Amino acid sequence: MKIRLAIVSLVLVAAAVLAFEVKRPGLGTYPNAAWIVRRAEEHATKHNYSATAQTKFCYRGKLVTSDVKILHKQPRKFRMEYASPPLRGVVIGNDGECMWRYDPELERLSISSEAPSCLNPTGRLDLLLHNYRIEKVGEEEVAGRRAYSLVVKAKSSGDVKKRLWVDAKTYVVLRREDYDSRGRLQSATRFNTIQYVDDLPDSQFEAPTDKYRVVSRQALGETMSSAELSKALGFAVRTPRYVPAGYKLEGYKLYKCPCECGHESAYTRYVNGLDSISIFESSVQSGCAREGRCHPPDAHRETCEVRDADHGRLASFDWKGRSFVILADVSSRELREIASSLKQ
Amino acid sequence: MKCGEIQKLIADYSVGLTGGRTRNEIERHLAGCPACSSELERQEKVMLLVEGLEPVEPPVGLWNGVYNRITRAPERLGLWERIRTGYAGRSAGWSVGFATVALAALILFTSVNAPGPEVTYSASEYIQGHAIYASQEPLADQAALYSVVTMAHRDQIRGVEAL
Repeated sequence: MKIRLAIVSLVLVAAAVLAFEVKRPGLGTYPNAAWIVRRAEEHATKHNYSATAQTKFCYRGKLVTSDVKILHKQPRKFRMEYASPPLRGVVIGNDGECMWRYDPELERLSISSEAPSCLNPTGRLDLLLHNYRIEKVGEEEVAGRRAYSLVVKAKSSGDVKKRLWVDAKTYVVLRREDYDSRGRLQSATRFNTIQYVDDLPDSQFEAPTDKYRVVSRQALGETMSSAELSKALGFAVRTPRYVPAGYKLEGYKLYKCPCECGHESAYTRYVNGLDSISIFESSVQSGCAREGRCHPPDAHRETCEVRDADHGRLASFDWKGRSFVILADVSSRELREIASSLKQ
Repeated sequence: MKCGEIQKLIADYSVGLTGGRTRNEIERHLAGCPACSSELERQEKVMLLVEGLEPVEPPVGLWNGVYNRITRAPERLGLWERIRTGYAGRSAGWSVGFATVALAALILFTSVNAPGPEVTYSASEYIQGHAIYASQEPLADQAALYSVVTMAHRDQIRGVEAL
């Protein structure tokens, strides 16, 4: 009886080892690009590391470069210290519960009441793989480590939307580049050095309230249903009849202006796994008090105005006493179609 | 030196900004002039009051606002500004005449087209929201997106239009 049990156990262990080896990259099977991306997403919360990086981002149509020191502690704590202009001295952190930012230029330590998170994170990667094709284009060395080089292309157009370099051992993304729908580089971050460590002190991720005066405690807003949001704002929140193929409704949020002026908008968000469509709706009589938005009661802006924005386009218009602002990386035609479908 | 000249220099003298020869002349004058001496006394009292005040922190973003205005590229003067300031050395008569014609044309144009009041949309508020939630997408470039959020927040606090 004992021998039979031992044989069965041995067979089961052998089967498990075989299954693991078949799935494991680099041993017999070439690692599949989608598999690497899944591992990268899973492993984003599994390592502690200290890194130096250079980040580039598009702002007001210009590519701005900044050196940044990044600390990451599993699962979601991070600290980013910007070391070169125009963001020199800015520190952004997440202690696992709330996010904070110290900006020396504004002399402001802002703490959000919560860490931002996906309104609905489940199935997000499946959505990405449904809408985008991921190709492994080779292997390169990044920050002294061997990395898989991947390209993420939109299935509908074939356009390259993202390039990734994933650590072949830890699956941490060491380098990334993002492109808009017109093929322009929108952002790029490359680790120059990375050191994986066993642990990092929690104090590194906490808001430095002992060092700086807290001048702002921001509430990012609440996630709620469309009906709850309509009730909270006093008007029926509109949902577009049209969104481009591949996008799914993620949810609704009561969005509070980050400058704490008290202005509130309905925030409806659509996602396709990589990009998002943000629709903000508020009463025409309201607006960010600090930005001094001029909006006389008899103003008419029913014609949708579309402007180029960093990371996409912005559409704005008024309709039936409400102001709409839409931000998305879609074509002007699609943006206008979303806008006009909000009026239907 | 006469009293009028001394009165002009007395503020500089009270804070030690006058040179040796001028200082000697002022001191000679003050020794024989009760009116100027009492003026100096008043100035010194004011300075003492100012020095006794607690230092006041400038409002957040004041310097940035000043800096932005200094470094902003010179704007081409609009038609109205040119008329108002008599730009390029035009005489006032030319400016007024030109303004009258321009105003008449403007009234005629607006009565025909009547576009309605202009509305300015502020985007910083929404760019921050869009970017902060985009940073939570799978494989998002958080270092870059948080940079965008920080820059847009600065613009919002300074009152600069983001687009």
